Amino acid sequence: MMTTAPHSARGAWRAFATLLLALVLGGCAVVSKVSTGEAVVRNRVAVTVDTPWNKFERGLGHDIPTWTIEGVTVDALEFFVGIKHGEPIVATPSSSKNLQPLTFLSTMPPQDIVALYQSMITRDGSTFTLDKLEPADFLGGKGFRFEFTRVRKYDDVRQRGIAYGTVRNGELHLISYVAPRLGFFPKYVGRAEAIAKSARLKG
Amino acid sequence: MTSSIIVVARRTCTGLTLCAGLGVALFGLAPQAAAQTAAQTASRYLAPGFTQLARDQKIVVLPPDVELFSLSAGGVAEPRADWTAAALGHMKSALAAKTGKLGLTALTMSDAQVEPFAEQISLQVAVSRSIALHHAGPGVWALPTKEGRLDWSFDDAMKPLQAASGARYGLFVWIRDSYASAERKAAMVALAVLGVGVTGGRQVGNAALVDLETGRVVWFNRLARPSGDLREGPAAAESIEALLTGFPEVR
Amino acid sequence: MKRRRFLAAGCAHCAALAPVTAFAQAGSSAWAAPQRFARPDLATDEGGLWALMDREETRLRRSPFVMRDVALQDYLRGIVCKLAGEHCPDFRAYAVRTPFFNASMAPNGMMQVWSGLLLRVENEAQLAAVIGHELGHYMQRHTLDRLRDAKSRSAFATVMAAFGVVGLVGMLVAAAGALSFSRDQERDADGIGLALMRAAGYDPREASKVWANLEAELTAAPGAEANKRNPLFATHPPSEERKQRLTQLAEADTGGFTGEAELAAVLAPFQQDLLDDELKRGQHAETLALLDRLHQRTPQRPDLLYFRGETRRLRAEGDDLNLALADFDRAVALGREPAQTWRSIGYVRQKFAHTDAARAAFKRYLDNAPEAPDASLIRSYLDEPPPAKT
Repeated sequence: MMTTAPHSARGAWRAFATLLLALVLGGCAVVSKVSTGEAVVRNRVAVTVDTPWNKFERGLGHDIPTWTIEGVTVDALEFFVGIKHGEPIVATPSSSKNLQPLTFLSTMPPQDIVALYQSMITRDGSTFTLDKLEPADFLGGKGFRFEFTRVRKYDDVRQRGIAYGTVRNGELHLISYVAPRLGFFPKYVGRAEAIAKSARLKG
Repeated sequence: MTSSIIVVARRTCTGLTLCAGLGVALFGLAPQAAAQTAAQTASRYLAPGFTQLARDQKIVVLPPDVELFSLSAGGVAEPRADWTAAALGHMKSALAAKTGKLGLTALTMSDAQVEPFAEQISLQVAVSRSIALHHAGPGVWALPTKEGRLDWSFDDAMKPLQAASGARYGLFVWIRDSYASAERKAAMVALAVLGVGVTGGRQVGNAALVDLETGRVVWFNRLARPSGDLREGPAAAESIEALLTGFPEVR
Repeated sequence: MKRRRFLAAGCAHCAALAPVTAFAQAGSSAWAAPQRFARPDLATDEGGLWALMDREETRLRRSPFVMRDVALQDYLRGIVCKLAGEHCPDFRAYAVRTPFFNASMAPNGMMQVWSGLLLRVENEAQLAAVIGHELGHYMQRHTLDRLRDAKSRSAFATVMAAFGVVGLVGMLVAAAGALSFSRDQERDADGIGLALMRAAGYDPREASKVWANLEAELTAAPGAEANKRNPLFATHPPSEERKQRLTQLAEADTGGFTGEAELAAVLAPFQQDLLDDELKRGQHAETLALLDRLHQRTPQRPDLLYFRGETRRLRAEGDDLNLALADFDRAVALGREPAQTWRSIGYVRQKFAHTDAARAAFKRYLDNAPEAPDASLIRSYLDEPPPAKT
């Protein structure tokens, strides 16, 4: 994990903290609270939060900041921030050799970004049906919004999702919210959508 | 042992659900909570403000989701259909006896009767996993917004089940139990994804009481302990007692 | 037994098939199919596995992933029955919508055929080859042997993955490793599969083609190695040895039923979905290899041209965009092209800054599919085309 010895006390503490984090939490995540007010994700995207959320800063094993209201097996608000041309939308699982990465190209029109998202979400055998794709304002400029239905392969749970996305200066930014279609999605989609609509780029 | 499990966890921790399942299982290793104050106990098992069931309310006991495994010398959990069948029978009897003792009217539904509600049931399993992970387990997974409360609800989603069963409350039970005869391997962490008790000779499970009309989870208990035997009648009754810890009073 | 009666009742047309109990063929050792299996005692390991599979089947029946088309299920069961003779009443066939190549026969008679396989076989005989191979494992109880074998015991959960319990890609790969039958068992199953095919009147020469085709896909992606496990074929890794063995075993055969039209007819309503599932895997090189092969066999299908073009358009490397446009134009020339073809033409024209052509194409798309999910997005291009990207 640490290939070079830290040269300062601060470096040592940070290295230790990282190690501790990884060890204690099994490499998964730590949960912290997102209070109402302003929040910044990955130092790039600022959002207005009207109701508190729970966040997994490092995501759940895939390094995508993830927020949830009811828990990791129920609902997830995911922030794909600053994905550059040629980068994968999400890291390919190391257990899957011979899988080509899902690469974002800055020339992709919205439909192709949706296809990329679909490839990611169906990688585990889950289904994805696009219900709607329309232009929308996002991050203070032109973007797109889509709605979808998904059946999770792992446990057959039927979910609905919405997402906002845009390509800005060649980088992809996308915020998606997925929750079970019974009860949870109708209850919380408004909050998720408000967050997405409030999003603006910081730098 | 712990570090090798964590290493495997990191390698396999590649997706939302997998990570969660692993978390639930890793949790199976955590010891039961130490003694608590009465208030803490109540908030652990019961939804805020919910303390008792009215005697005239009906409860429907959904078919328990039970799987019993035998852990062989090689550390492999092999499903034991005879044990599982026996356990199902014992659990149903024990649940009926317990609910009867509490003075409740308990209805049951067969597998065929619950088929139209497959979506509600699969949803309930997913929510239970989150409650087990974020509420009934080690603090590091607790969701800050819940503030330690049992605060989950299905809203309208359970109403069709209420209509079909005629019951106000639903009792959902999920148990994985393994009986070891020898050493266990770290490779069994893979089984943990499916909810099989990790260290072998472990009883892992949870039970939830859901108000089908409001959708609120009014009572929840997670079980993770080395002992418990569902294969025989009296021991199964004891397991049910343990599972129903903190069950609301009946008035 | 109650269960047998229930199953027999569910397989009405199976009674009409002549039971086949022995296969003595020139050039292959005599092999007699076992008698139908009785339900094992609950207390045995086989009984435990059987009961677990029963519960999984209950779950599968409720699963949103099962393709519930009656004609499709009857067709699959019909093939099993043609092959399995008197065992026919013991099977239930499920088509499952998952874009991986997989067919499995659980010891309790639950048969699954995944849509990734349905997409790849070229005719009924090839489908029968895979099903026949699985029947071989079933009849010789290989699955139970594997579970009893110390080597695979530590991966029981991954065995369940092979039967469709958990769909994670990583698990599939691990499942293949755990459940991989021994070489003797594979040889056995291949031989039995061919014998069953022959006895049912199928052309056994089709069997080796299945694996040859898979191999081509496997090696299509840049950096791919044929021996590395690919999740697409996790449970049925193609191998040179198997392909050669099957070719050898079928050397003396001169004909038989292939059923290209029959399979095509049953799958026609699903082609669009299956091809879209394949496309959305995002594995462009493999998808192209598949589509090239399919197109070569049936050059008159406009949907194959659309999907091949679309794969290239998404990959957008080298000359892909030009080749994509060529495929789209060919699809249009054939007629009955999918409505999305026009949308894709619009996107490519947009890239080339052929503004008028792009607008015309988008208009054509909206005319053909006014209720499409992305109609409002495309309409926005007509109202106000986006600025050219640098």
